[in-house]
Amino acid sequence: MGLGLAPGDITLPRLCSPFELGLGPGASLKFVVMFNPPAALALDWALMIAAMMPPLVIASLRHIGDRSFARRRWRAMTLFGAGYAIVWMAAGTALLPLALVCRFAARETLLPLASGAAVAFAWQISPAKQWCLNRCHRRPALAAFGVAADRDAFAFGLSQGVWCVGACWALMMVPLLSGQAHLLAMMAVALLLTAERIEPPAAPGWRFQPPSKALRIAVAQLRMRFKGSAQTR
Amino acid sequence: MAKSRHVELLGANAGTVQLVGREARSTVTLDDAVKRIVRTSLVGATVAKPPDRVFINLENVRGLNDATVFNVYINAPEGDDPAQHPECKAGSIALFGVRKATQTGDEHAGSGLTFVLEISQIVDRLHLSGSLDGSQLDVLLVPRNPVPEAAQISIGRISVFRQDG
Repeated sequence: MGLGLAPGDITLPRLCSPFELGLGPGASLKFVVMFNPPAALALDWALMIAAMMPPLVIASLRHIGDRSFARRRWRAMTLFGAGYAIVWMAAGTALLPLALVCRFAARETLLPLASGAAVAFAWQISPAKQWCLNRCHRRPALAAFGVAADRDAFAFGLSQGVWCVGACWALMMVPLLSGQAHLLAMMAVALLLTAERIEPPAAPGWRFQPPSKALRIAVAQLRMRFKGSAQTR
Repeated sequence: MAKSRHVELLGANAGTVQLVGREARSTVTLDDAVKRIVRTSLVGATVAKPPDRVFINLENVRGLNDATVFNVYINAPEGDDPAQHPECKAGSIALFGVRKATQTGDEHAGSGLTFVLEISQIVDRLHLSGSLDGSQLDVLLVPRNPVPEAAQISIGRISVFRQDG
């Protein structure tokens, strides 16, 4: 459970564990629930959020930092982070049980992962997803002084959390349904979420929007590196 | 490559400013500690070490009328025609593109536009006349033509920043 601290014996969070959260053949739902106490799941979910979300909030943190007095900067960013984390932790109370139930109902099959991927794809191309993603790009005016500044920073974190959950919840289910491929799925989803976050807002509609900006940046970086290597030879 | 300069918030107003009719006023409260830094830089300014530069930001300007143009004045005497005080004029702002920037489905995500005007000379003049001792700057926005309420022009925040000289 969580990260073990014994020397030479680092354990993974149970969400990343190959032991399938106690979902072996014959395990009862009662056993699965006992094997996965809420506090442990909450901790693992918090670690997952902490690992995956930072690239998505960098621009918002920069916005807060730039528009706060230097002496209040860390406080404002911490309040933002708290608001954001609260929303994602609340979302976990729905997403984690849903994932557990899906995996319990069809354990040792790829059905939960396939279904989750299908739902994620449908959500990705939906206007609702784009609507939420547009709002993740909002940079509101923030009060500069006193309690109002604290309130605005926290509220900004809450609102960003809400829109982020709205945009990302379906893709976040994929690692939860991936079983032994959880870590790999986490990395892939984190990359995809980061790539789509740097796309500019667009009019909502039913369409597939590839992360073209991230791809262009990656290609440009590779070309620069190869050009640099060729010139030094 | 240009030298990176330290920039920090010096002051800001409280609340959204609605630009309706012939003018709108707001008060920017300056932070005492940061203002002391600016005043120190003004007092000790030399050719080798110029004073801080000061900028006024009109953040999150939203609205439905791209044709709005207005002048920005700092500490213009109340009751006087601000056009008679060019020394208080920070600059002019045209809201071309504001309608598109106000739409949530567009690339500004509905956050509107942000405009920056340098007011270093105005601040220096206030300092030399002893008017920078107060903790507030009065900001007057005067549109070229009266702004109808239907234009829904608003400024989310008016802030002032200092940049190392």
